[in-house]
Amino acid sequence: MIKLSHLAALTLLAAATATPAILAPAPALASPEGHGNNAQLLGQPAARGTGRVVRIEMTENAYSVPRIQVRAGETIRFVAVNRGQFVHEFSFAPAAVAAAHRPEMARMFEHGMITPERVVSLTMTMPDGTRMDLAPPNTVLVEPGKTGEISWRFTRAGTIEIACNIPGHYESGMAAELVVTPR
Amino acid sequence: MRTLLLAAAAGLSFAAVTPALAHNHNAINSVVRLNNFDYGGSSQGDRLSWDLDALIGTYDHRLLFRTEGEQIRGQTEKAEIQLFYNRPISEFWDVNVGWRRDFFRTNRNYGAVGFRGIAPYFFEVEATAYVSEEGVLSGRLELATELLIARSVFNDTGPGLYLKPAIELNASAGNDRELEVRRGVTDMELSLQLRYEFTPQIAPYVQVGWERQLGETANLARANGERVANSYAVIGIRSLF
Amino acid sequence: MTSPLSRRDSLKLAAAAGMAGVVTAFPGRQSFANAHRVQDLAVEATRITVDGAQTNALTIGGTVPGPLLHWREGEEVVIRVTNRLSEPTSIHWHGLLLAGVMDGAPGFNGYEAIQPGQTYTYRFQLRQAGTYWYHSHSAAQEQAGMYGAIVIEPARPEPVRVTRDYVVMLSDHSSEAPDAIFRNLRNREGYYNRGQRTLVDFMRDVRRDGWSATMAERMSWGEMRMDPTDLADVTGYQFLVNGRGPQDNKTFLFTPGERVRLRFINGSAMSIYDVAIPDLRMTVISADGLPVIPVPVDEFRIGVGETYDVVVNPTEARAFTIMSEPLDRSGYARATLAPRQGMEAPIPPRRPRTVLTMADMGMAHGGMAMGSGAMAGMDHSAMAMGGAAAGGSAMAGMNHGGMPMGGSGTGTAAPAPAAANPHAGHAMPGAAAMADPNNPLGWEQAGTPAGKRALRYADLRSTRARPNAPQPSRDIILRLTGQMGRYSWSLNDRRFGMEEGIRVREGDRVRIRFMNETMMAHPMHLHGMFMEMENGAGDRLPYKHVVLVRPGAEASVLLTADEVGDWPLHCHLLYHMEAGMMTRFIVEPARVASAG
Repeated sequence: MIKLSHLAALTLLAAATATPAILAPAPALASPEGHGNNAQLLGQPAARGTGRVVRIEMTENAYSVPRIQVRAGETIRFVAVNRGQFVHEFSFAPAAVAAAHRPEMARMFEHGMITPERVVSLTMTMPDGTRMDLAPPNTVLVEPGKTGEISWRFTRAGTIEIACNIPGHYESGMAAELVVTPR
Repeated sequence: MRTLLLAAAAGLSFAAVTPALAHNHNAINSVVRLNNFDYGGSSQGDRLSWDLDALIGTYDHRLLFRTEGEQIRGQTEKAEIQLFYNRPISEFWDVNVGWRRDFFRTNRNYGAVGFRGIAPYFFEVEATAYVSEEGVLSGRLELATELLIARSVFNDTGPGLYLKPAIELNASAGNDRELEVRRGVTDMELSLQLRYEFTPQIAPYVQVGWERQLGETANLARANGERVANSYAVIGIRSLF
Repeated sequence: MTSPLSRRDSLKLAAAAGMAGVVTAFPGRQSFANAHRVQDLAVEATRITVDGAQTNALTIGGTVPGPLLHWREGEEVVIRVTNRLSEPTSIHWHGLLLAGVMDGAPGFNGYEAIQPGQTYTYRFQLRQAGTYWYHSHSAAQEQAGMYGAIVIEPARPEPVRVTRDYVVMLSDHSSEAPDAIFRNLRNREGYYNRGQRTLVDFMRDVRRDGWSATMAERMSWGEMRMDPTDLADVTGYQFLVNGRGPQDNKTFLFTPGERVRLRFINGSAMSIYDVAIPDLRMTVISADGLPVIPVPVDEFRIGVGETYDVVVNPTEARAFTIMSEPLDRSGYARATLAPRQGMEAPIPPRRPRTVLTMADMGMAHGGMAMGSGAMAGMDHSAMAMGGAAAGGSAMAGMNHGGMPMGGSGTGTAAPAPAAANPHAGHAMPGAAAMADPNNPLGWEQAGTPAGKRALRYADLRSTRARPNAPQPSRDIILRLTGQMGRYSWSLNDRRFGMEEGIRVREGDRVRIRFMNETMMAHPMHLHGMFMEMENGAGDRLPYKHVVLVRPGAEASVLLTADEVGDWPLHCHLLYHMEAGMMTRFIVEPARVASAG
């Protein structure tokens, strides 16, 4: 009984998580290199470790800078250093997309996939045995004392939001602006 | 009797010296309750009755004063006062020890011991044994319960309409010539009260009841040419101060 | 010494507390050597106006609530309290860590009540930050208006950045004098209980549940001589936010997009509330003054004396109603969050009053089978799936991290003795079958709308981890006892003054097990020290100064007795304390103890 409902819930969760509206570049969920709607994210993932370094520090509950500005055409290597005592997220997306993502993050948190201090698992085994990755490429979860990285090639101008979607962190003010100026 | 009262008073003063500190946990509390005060008609003529008690004391030691009486056609049919030392003995039960005095037919003193409380299913129970100065043992049992029929239709926290059935039984283990009481169950009263309680202070009611003398006592009354049964319908007020 | 707050901030907070007396609250000068803050407060009888009607009140600083005391961690404060009443008074600093004689509870720690005409000078260093409050600890003066809020800014930066910061102080106000209320409670059982079930209710239940089930249910309450509608002892209250009634509609302003911190304080004498802001999610960031790992919720239940700080992020230019309904649903406190004064949002539908179940009577102690109701063991299944249908028991077997899986974790267990479940997670949502918001059964049921998430005690996790906290050396059992009929309330069957108190040695680590043998919830408050509530949060037990113990259930706390003194430990329901539900928690100095 327990197993069954457990699975059912996971399926629900997975289904919900995979809903396009929820995780920004939704198709990227299944295939990080995919050709999803990256227009929203003003660019696409770049090879790991490449690009101009932009460093950002994370503490409770804030980023070290309120605003990051880059130019369209640049590849940026975001280096997110967690100097706090809890897990923080560095992620960028349009504000509405991030807002839709937060309830799912809250569920992962409640399910123990993420604890306050640790990222336990970001993958989940589906009922058919396939594994599912819940970490989209525009997002990195960083444990205390560790550093996370995202390399991203920006192709379009626009303004989106950097946010930590761990429950309560964004609400407490852990957000910043990401401005991509025209090339 | 005096000894009993002295004992009660001693109990009270003992309680009062317990340190009160910041809070008045042992402060003396008092209340006067007018349980019944009504007037109406009965098969024997117009009827007035009252039942009032007053309590003073701490949680553990209290004095209870109670007076009850009834007049039919302006003539007193029953009048008594009781003074008890009252003490809780369990969550739902108190004991009463004290004195009663009747003013009807003759002035009669009694020593009294009894208990009162709430029985399961919310039956209010009061049972008292008396020994008169003539040495006659008697007893009284009162039972009542209360049903909340409805609240005001406008507001579910408004006034309540209550129905209260009650029964009182008196019995004597011996004869008392002056009181015209014979051994056995002497009399009973059944009543039904419908009360509209605006607040506990203002609670008017209508009540119907039936009182009857029983057994040898009834026979004696009949022999004296008195009527042994009386039914009544009255309106009255219940209150507390 | 410059003020840690800009004047603008101060005014904003002052306005938030909704009081005059701002000037006394924020003196611009420091006349005491070493003292960063000096405050003069007069206690006096006056009249206040609530929703247009005048009533008598006892006030601190001339207003209800008293002035907001806005301090900074590390400061030493001096408060001179002058008694202009004709009876003794006192002021207790609720939740503050300080020397016993400054705690302000007469009869404890050598502190004596302030006599009429006298001035007492309190002086203490602020060793903590957060939201606290102060109130009279004499007789039932608190009920008459003697309470106010304390906000202590942290010495280090806040883990939350907000543009607005408001105190939301809930209280219950009566036009009756507190002494009269207490007298009524003692003189007539159920004096204020206007919620008893009627014959009409009986007929309805017979139609719904059948004759035999309804009779059986009525009979079991009757057999125990208990009333399942007895949720609050006193009714007839007006429920206030910062001294304002529902019609006054205290309004807190915001600009859309701003983050707003609301510091909820339950300064009521007797009322426990369910608090919600329809359409606005709240993130709980601290409990009883100290930070917790943020928890997003839609509503929370707040016991008397507790505080919760929440952050809200209203993005729309509209009004939101801050709705606080007392458990007996006899009214509501209301305030509004709005971009402009004068805006209003609808009052949400009033929630039904819950009916207690046998489980609330502590029948779980006896291991008897429960037909339905909010039995202790059910807490485990109350996983926060936001009420989503399949959510119920989905979590079992997963790694829950800090989830509150106290016992077997299946949520279906035969009634675990309450002892196995100290995590009294309250106001649980989504417990499947019995969570019918329109027909709530059991004390836990807040009538939380489907899909909404209520805070549970189990959600509270301190931001401060204590992985190496020692095990307690002993358990102290404190049975919460009472006799409703006599309005006699006690601990371990002894009323205050008849008990011996609890003795521990400085530095002892102990567990206090509150075993509620009554059918009412009791917010148990300890002075002088924080309790670490055993809610299943592992090494992150939340620090609490009040623990709300559900009817018929057990809650336990750990405590390191590091504050020497003779501290009140009591039920924070004012008339329960008055009736004797209090004891002494005596922490003896280690030196003396070893010498003796």
